[in-house]
Amino acid sequence: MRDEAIFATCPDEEFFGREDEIGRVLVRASGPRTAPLGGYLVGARWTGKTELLRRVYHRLFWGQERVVPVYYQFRGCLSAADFAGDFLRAAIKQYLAFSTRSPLMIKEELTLKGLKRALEEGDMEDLAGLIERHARAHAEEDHVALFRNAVSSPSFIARRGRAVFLLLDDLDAACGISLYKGGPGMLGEYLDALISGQTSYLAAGVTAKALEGSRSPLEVMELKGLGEAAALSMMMKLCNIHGVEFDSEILANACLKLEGVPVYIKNMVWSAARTKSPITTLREFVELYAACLLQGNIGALLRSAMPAGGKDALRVLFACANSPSGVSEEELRERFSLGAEEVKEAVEALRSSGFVDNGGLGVVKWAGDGVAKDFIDCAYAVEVRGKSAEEAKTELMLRRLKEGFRMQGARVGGGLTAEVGELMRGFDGQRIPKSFFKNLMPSHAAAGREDEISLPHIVGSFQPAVLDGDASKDRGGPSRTAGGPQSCALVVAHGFQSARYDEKNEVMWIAGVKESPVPMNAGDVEDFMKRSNLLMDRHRVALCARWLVAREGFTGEAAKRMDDTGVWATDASALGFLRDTVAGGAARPTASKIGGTVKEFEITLPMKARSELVAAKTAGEIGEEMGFDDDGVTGIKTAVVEACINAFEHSKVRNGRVHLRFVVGGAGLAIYIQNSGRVFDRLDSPQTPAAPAAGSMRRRGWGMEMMQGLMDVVRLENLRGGTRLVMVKYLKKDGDKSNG
Amino acid sequence: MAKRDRDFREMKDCAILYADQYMNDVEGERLEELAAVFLEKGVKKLIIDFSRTELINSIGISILVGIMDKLREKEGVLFFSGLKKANHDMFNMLGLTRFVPVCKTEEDALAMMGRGATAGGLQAKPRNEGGA
Repeated sequence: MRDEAIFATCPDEEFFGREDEIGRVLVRASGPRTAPLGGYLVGARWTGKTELLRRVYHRLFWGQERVVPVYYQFRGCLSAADFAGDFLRAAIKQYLAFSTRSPLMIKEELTLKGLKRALEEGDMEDLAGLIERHARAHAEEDHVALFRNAVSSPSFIARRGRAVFLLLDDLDAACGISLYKGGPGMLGEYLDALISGQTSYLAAGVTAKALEGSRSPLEVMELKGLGEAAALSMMMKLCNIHGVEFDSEILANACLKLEGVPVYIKNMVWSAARTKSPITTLREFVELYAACLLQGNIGALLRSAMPAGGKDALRVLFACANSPSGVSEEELRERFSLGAEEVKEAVEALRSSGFVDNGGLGVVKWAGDGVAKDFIDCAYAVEVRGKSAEEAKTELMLRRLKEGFRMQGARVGGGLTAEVGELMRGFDGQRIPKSFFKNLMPSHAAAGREDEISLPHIVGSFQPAVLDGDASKDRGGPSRTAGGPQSCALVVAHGFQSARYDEKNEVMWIAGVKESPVPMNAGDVEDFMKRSNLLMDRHRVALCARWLVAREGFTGEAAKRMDDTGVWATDASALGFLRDTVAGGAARPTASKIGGTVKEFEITLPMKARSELVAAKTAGEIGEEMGFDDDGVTGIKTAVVEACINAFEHSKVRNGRVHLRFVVGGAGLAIYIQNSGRVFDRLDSPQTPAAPAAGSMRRRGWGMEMMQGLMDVVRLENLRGGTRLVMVKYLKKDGDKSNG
Repeated sequence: MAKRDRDFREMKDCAILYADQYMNDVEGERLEELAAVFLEKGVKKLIIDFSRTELINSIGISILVGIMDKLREKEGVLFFSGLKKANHDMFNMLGLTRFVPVCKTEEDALAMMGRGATAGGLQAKPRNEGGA
């Protein structure tokens, strides 16, 4: 078994969202080129630079033979002489390991003398000569000769027939090393020497300070935290791996707060797993966050990254972190009664560590992230202001709860409520299946077929003003009630139950919409009942329907209360189907093409292994009943399996379910598949790769291609809060070859 | 003397692997492991028989492609047999049949192998005989 991870990396299942960057670096490293390329990957601490470089190294080591990868991490070198010996040993060892495919050699503790012997035995006198010259320069204490000899090693290796690609990690850790006392840092000369020696490289560091003094052209690439979707996906997967209970909306909120920085995300989840803390509410997240920052690994990491400098450094950091436009050095001197030299030293150390940057004109600007700022605020409160750790923690939690609450409000604000209002405006006497509403009791709505109801003819809908006795009055808004952000917004729709526009037929629908990512509970139902009673008193209409809609469904107690009171209920996923059914026409183009609806079937699947087979069996029986032949039925079943797998893979919602609706028409079968809220693959997703090269087949991305090949129509529809896949298979007419 | 098992049938220099009713990740991995075992033993002629298989999903396809790649690396020969017409059409659509010959039955595949499919048989011109 080959040793994949020559330099330690995190497990593959915990690595997320950097495939594009890795691909770009691999092209850079092994693609054709005429001139050497210099690159610098700059990014805040813990954004994953080391992981990225090491993964590139592993892929270059195992995936090709043309370019020799050499990974070097600038750590622990105190002088140019130390660096020279260390770098020379690393470059030669890695070349030997690569050319003999012996990864274990990289980890072997070989001295330069031992290496020289190995090179001589392998008839590599040219490389042995490098070690010989190193020993001579070392004896003569000629640091410049030592340095230049080491830097020339990649060129010597390249002369043996394979180009070298250097991966230089933590470059800015060597900023302080110079070739001679009082001279400039050696890094500028080092990078220039690499390029003039025809060696391409990708270096990584926290600040661009390391590049000062280099005159060679180089491309700077910025590595930021993971994007929102990748960060959420990572955090959810880690929670699943480590058995941490979570709520996806709260995790989304957490990812924003953690700015997508992988190390923060991992440490949060590890800490939650260790302390068995769920992340299902904003408060749980904030408590965990405060604990990680003040007593946990995140705090320890940030503390270790801070330069030594005691309270002065902390003061400077606090001032910068809390001043959006930066602070001048002069202001720092005055504010903290520090000498010019002290400020300069503190700023320089902080700049090297990436916490602050030069804002120009002597202004020092905060360059850290929000988590580091929270840490600095707490440390300042405790160490400078003398507050207790508990007080600092309480202050932090209060701030973050308020911020999280605002973010949560912004994320969910109004989407579903507006959708329900718009939907009710579209009620115009349509007949729809009862199954869209649970607890459908009132008899006035159930005229005609038993499994259908007639919707009213709605004239208009609106959100009611604050009601007398409404607890939300004091809480700043008509849509907030005693339950705070977890209560319902009200939407009222007014109209007539039939086309007879008289008082007897006047109807009012009162909808309560719970937007927040927690299920509706019995308290919410009670609250809704009280407020809807007030509305009914005010409007005094002949008929009234009360309807609750919840993004995350209903608790058992809430369902029982609704049963008792005859309140109807619909969850957000069913709402999408209801909207399409109500809209008809443009929103339901397949209905006419499949020859008018004859029957409809719905099933809801849990996201469990092999549950797609239940959907396939249903599809198969419907297909057989409709007259599709064996091949047609197998094709439909295979497409349904693919759609379900796709929906499972891409749903990002806790306790996820996949809803399928089969609409049987005279001319064909339409199948609607919707997961709980998030995206399916795009039809033109980059996951569907280009055609395979001759003699080699691609490995993934077949799903959409299969569905498109097996069904007559496959398309994605964007819904509020998610995506839905629609597939249609037509029955062939007489004279067509078959129904397959 | 041929050895028989419900999952595979091993002959002197050839093995037939029987895919289950639902070719998904689990089943694909089982076949992949079996294929690896035979390759390790030096058996480089493999037939995957799908006569029991009704449904094949995309993960199963990906794993089949992996098996094809491994066979190619080892200069082995791979045949598919017993595909239902719908699945055969799907393999055609996805381009798999350009690389792996498909026979009606495992006996046909054995006969075709005996007629001289050689190392590198993955690139042999497929004989599309249709589904079962």
